[in-house]
Amino acid sequence: MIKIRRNRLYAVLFIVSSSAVAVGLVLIALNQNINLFYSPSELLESGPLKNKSIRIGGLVEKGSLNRVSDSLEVNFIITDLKEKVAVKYSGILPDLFKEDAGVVATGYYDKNNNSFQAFEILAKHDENYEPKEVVNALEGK
Amino acid sequence: MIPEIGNFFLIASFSVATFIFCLATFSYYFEREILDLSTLIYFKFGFVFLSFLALEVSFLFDDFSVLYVASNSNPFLPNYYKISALWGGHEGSMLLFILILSLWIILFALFSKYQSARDKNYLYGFTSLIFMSFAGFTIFTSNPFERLLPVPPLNGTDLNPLLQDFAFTIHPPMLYLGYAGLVIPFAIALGRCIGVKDAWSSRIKKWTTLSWSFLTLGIALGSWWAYYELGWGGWWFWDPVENSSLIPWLIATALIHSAIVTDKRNIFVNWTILLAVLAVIGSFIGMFLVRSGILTSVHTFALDPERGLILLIITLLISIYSFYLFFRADTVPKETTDYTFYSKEFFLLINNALLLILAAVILFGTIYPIIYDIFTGGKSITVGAPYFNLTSVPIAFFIAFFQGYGILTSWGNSKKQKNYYLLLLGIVFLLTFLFTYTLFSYPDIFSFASYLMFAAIISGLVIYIFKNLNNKNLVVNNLGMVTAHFGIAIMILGIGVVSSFSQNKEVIIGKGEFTNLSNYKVKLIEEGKEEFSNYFSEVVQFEVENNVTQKKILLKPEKSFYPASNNVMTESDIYIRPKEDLYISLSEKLESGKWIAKIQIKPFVRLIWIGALIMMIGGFLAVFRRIKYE
Repeated sequence: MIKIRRNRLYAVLFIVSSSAVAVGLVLIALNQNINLFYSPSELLESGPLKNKSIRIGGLVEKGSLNRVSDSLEVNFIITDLKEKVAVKYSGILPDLFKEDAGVVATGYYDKNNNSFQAFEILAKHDENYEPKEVVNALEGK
Repeated sequence: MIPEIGNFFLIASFSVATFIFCLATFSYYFEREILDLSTLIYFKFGFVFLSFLALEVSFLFDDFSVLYVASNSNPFLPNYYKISALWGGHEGSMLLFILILSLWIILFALFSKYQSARDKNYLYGFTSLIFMSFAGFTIFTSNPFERLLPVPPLNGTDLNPLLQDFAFTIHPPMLYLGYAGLVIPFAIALGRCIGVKDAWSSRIKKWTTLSWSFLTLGIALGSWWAYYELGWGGWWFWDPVENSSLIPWLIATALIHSAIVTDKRNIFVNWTILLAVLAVIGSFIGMFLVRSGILTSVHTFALDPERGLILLIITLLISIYSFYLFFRADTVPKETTDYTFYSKEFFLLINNALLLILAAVILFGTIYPIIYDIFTGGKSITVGAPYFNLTSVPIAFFIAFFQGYGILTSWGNSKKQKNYYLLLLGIVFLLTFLFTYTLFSYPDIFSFASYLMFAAIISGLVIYIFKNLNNKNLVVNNLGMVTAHFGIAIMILGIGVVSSFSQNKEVIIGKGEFTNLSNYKVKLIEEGKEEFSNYFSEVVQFEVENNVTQKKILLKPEKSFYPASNNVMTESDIYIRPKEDLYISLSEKLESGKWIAKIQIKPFVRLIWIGALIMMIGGFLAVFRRIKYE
């Protein structure tokens, strides 16, 4: 009987300590790897810290997309139909990225000149689907 | 007419399942003998199968008056894809799921013999409860036979081009074989709670291992598909959909190990029952997360919050029902066996605890956006892939080390035995050293960790085999276990190498121009256009020259346009070598006529899926050896 209790103690000790380590890991990881979402209006209202990566979303403004000739660099404007943010990106754009369509960009915001340096661009996955955040941003929620 | 027949049989199967559940419950509470329900089980399968056929026929004959067919098919779609288009959307995939579920129930009816027919009826009751929930859910919220009358469209909107692909045609059926199979151990576990004891733990072990094997294959197929079909060479994105298949997989893995202990030593009884219940609830929660649209994911089904709510209610009701049976049951055996700190039991306990912690950590990261949304009043966040890497790699690291040493321990007490851990440590470091200095010049922390993990598992297995050379039966009987563990080691090695040593280059390249990456010279030599029945594409030919072997081959990545759905697809092309993949995908054509292309080198990426395949084979070996053995 004592043996069984001792086994239980070992088991409980192991589970408690490894759970504690896991919780610690989760807290550290969450602290660094969460990307808050902003619409252009929210960005102007309360811009985030300069060195924290965030996501922004809205529509790619019509006529705003231009490519630095023969390079991977593109500039465009994301709008929620009220406010606008200029976005810079260097890299491959998703297949369904186009003007007047929804987009979500991950990157860093520079409040001083209202510009956004993106390192990841997500567009819709198919013709019928619009990212949830984009829909909310356009509705002004 | 045919869709109505399909709908009729779908409803009939739902009614049969409800009848079986009610009859089994009645028989239990009033202690009455009832007829053997096996016949009804076959009828139920027959009904679902007819319903499934009816929907397939509607697809093959382009019956666009059926809403589901109209939104997932097109007259120009090749017949092969018309058949697989059935599981290209939410409604049809639910039908496929209940078809596979009823197939598992038949297999269970055929291959598990019970002493009393009444006992088996109870288990049919539990499986029918799950069947009933999903058939009901399909009929009332997502009926694939819904009509578009009186004016059906002339043309369907086409199957999403991403899904017009071989791996996709078999990925969902395999995955569902995995999920649905977990319902059998669930029923056996609940049966144990109400006193059905016939070989229950060895049966749980067997059925879980079988469905685990399919689940492994299903997840690996999904990863392989994402690798070449999504066009950008990633093989795992920590997307909510992927996570919600990984969580039941982890729980099922824990369940297999816990059932082994219960079977051998008659301990961990409650724990095994709990895991069997959790595995099913875990896959329900996964289904809820995916189908409710509550999380943003690459896999988008037509989203409907109402469906999500109903799935959540079903999940809650089944959880309450299972836990009610679990807590009122008296399952703890009177005689238990004793074990010490250095025993197989204790190592398997560690394995179980760590696997569940890993599952919990992944679940938490997946649903954290929902929690955050609720507590901050609608603020939206995403949890990035680094969260999952940072949390899961250390936990997996410990699992691998305990696994390597754990299989060398014996039941009860290993203290009197030789201690192998020094030998194990020695081999681990030797192997790691060899890997680091032969494969690549210097490793980063992730690849180094993966070498250590690989070496720990492999050296554990090697010592295990050598230690038992004079006891060949033991090794042969555990061949499945050895194979599966070997598979996970191979997979870990692949993950480590590909995560650390992949190279990529995004280039702008015109006709006749070339670029270098690693040992390859990549030259654009030709551009052309091709037309197919339901799409047309621009094909660009690249000549890839290996600077070491001077060998030249052609790669033809494509950019395809699907007019029916107004969709664009990136079709990559891959030069597969034993050591690495050279992966080319096209982005867009610039005004100057040059192409933007992405060229990648993925060393040993195939080890990931080969590892999964070996794990699956291991699972099958374990199951079918045992059947022979009994």
